[in-house]
Amino acid sequence: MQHGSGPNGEKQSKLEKGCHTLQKAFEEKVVAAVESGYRRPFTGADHMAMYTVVYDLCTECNLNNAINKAPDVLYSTYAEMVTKYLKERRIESTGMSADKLLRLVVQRWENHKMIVKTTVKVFGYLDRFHTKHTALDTTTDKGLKCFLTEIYSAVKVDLRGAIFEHIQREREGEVVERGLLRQAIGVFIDMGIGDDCYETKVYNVDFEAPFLTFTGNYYEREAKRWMAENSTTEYMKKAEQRLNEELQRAEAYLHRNSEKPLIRVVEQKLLETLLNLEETGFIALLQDNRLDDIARAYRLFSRIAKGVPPISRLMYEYVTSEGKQIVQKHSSSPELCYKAYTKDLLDIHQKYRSILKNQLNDDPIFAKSIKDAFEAFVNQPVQSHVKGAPPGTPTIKVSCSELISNYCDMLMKNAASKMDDDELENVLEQVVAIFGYINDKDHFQEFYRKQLSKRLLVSVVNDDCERSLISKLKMRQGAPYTSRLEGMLKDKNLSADWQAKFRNHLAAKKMTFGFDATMQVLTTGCWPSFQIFPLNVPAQAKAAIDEFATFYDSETQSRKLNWVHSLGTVTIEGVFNRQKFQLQMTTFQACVLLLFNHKDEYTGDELMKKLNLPWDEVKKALQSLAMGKYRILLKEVPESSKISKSVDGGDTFKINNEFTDKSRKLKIPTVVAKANLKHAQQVQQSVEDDRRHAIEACLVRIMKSRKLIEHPILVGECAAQLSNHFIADPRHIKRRIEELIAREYIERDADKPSLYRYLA
Amino acid sequence: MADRRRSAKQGNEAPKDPKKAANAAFVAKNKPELEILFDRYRDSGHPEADDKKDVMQGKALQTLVADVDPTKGDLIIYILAWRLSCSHSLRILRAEWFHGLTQLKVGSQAKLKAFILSSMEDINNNPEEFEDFYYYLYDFVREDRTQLLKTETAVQTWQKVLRQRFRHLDDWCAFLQETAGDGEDLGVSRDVWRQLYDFSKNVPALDKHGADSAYPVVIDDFVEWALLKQTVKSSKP
Repeated sequence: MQHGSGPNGEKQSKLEKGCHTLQKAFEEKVVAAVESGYRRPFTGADHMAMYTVVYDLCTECNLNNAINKAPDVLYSTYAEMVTKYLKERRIESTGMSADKLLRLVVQRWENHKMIVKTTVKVFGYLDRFHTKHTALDTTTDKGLKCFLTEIYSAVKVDLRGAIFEHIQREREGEVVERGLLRQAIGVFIDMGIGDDCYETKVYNVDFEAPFLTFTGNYYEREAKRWMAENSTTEYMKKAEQRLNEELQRAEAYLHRNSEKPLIRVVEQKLLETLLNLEETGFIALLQDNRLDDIARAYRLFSRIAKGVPPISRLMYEYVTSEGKQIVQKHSSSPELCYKAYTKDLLDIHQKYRSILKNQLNDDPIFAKSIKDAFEAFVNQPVQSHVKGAPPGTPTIKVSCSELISNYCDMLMKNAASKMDDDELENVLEQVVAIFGYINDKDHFQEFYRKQLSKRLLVSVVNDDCERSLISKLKMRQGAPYTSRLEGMLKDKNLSADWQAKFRNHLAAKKMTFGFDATMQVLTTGCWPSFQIFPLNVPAQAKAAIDEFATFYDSETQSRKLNWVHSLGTVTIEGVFNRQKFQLQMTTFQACVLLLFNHKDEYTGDELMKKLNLPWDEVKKALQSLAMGKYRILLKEVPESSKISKSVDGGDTFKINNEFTDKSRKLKIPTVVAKANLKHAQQVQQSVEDDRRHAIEACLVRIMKSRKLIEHPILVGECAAQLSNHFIADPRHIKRRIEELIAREYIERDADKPSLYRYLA
Repeated sequence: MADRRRSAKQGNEAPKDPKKAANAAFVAKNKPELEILFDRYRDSGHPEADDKKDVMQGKALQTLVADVDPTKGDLIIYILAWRLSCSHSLRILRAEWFHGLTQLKVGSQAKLKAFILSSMEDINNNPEEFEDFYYYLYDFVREDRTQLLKTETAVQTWQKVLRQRFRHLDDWCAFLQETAGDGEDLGVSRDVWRQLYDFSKNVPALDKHGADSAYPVVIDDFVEWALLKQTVKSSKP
């Protein structure tokens, strides 16, 4: 170390000398070491020698406070050294084989990294102060950047091409050296010198973008080829396979940022073309029930942004058509069997529910299209021929509400004995699911109510089954829907209580009537309306009835009892030719017979007067007694009229004393008039009435809260509020609005007729 | 032309304020004439019973029409009834006659004629007046005020009143008669009566009528029917 503020010349020469030393050391020691694979080691002593030079030069005291030029000079010397080194090792990449190029570049880069690493240790002192306080790159960065400028820029295009060639070969099925590719691509990544770990600027521009284009073109060609050669299912299989491959590839040797864009490009090229051609492919899968292929199709399509809606639309169309076929099948069958129809519905529902769950991953878009499809065909009425009508009579439309309600009826009647609990629960669940698709749920309620009342009053009922189904309906529709049904069940149980109380009461009063009287008390609102006839009851029965009425009055307040005799049953003991029979029949029939205790003969008209019933009821009773299976009565036709199969007012009746039968206990059948058609029409009628009230109530509710409202909004609101129970026709709503205007609940605004105002 | 006969009748009440004074004066001057007019018309209707003495109806009204302007027909009656605010269908009461004409300062037959004709001009030119008149008519032509206006009567009235104003009047009347023939005559409600006028004003072409309009259902049905007829007509060679 020489002190002394000698003339600049001296200092410079010291600096020059130092630089020269470093240069030499660099070439002889560092480069040689690295390039020989450290066979010629770069020792600690070598290192120290170089480091000391740098250190001395940098820390030299400036007695006259001149700026020390040493760092600058050292820095540029360093840069020059490295650049020179690189220039001597240029790569002539044209014409070189891909493999060779890759290896060469990789090797160069690895070497360079080592060189820079080693050299930086020597020049490290510069990093402490010089590069920190100026805007210069650190020595590491500078060194690496030299590679970028000297070697990389020239070689990058060919390098890239070489990589692409390898990737192409791998895609075609060859096995390539993934490690090499990884390193080569690593070069691109590393060229983003100074980037933080999330950015890969150089890589993006120089490698990734072209790579994506390259991939895109490749798959575009592939897609065309496959389309021409393969069926859709094969295509899908291949597509899925390739997608998995590309994913692996990305993991193996691409930068992690590239994974998403790469998959995106492949999806776009392979799957979006598929979308255009998808017309019949998916439907074929559904037809053949190819579950795996359906699942695959779903997986593939769900990758693309708008992939799912088109095929869910196909699903909707297919399911709708399948459903409509079912309806068609049952329409054209000679006799409509609700059991078969419902079974078919349950089956198809089960099928698609399982596909949705297992193959379609409960995708909500698919769930919706299946639901829409079901709603479309479930609500189609089935054409049916009226039983026993001559051919050529027009068919009637039977709604699904009726059919499903019949099915429930059958379940309730037979279920307990035939199915075990779990099975029954399952079936009920499914039935309620189908119920959910019905638009006119109030129809269903009416049918079900009527059938429930019959079951409760006439046949034996399995309480658990009934409750189970009702609770399911309640969960689906809400309490108001099932409140009446629950009321009916409650009444049945309460009636049993009343019965017991009445018996105790009679016992206490020591009253008997000569027969066992059972009363059932029904709450009017819950049960369907029954016709009440002012029947003239025979004396014995009257006593019992009156007694019960007084008893009931004493136990309750402000309740009125109306006797529905049309529903009652009576067991009568009859003696024919000294043979005793126990005959079970309806109340009306019993009243007719009991009249014959007082007189031997009656005409039809007389009977009608005595009983105080309309002729239709009397006729039914007489027909069943005189012309049915058991001829209890004998009919005589007056001479003037013809012999007819039915009963007339002028006919005379008397007891058939010769009546006999093998069994002693008989049930007299009733004449069931054309129940079905009228029954359905009645239900229709009562539902229409209920709907009218529901619409009006809804309109008034809305008007009351809004006060002023525009016509279309009012109609929309009303329809929306009622949609859970039934689909309201806008015309009906309009009619109700006019009604309300006429009844002065609402008025039109004077200036704007489409605006309605609520009149308090 | 009737003879003028003066009578000794005077005004009934002492006037309490200037308006009433003017009225009283008017009454004093013109009541006899009005009385005569009323009686003349009433008699020409041949009232059968005595209690019909104070009512002008039926043929009486026709005579009035003939006097004023036979070409305009029942429109004269309607306008007069409207102006007099008659409260009973198809008849004019003596009290209404006097009270109304007094208010309007119509004292003689000539003035009556002039007045009615000018009212007619009025409703033709002024849409508000016409609307008022039209709304009034619903009750006036409705014979049984406990029920809806009979379709037949409505059709006749519409023919007289909406002649120039409703392009589809003939179609509308044909439609009503066709559908009324199917079932019972439901009648025309006040709402329909009023809305028809609105419809005639605001919906010139049938296909401009939207299905979700606020018009009554019967008008919707009419549009459907008429459009169907149009397409049938246009498809025939």
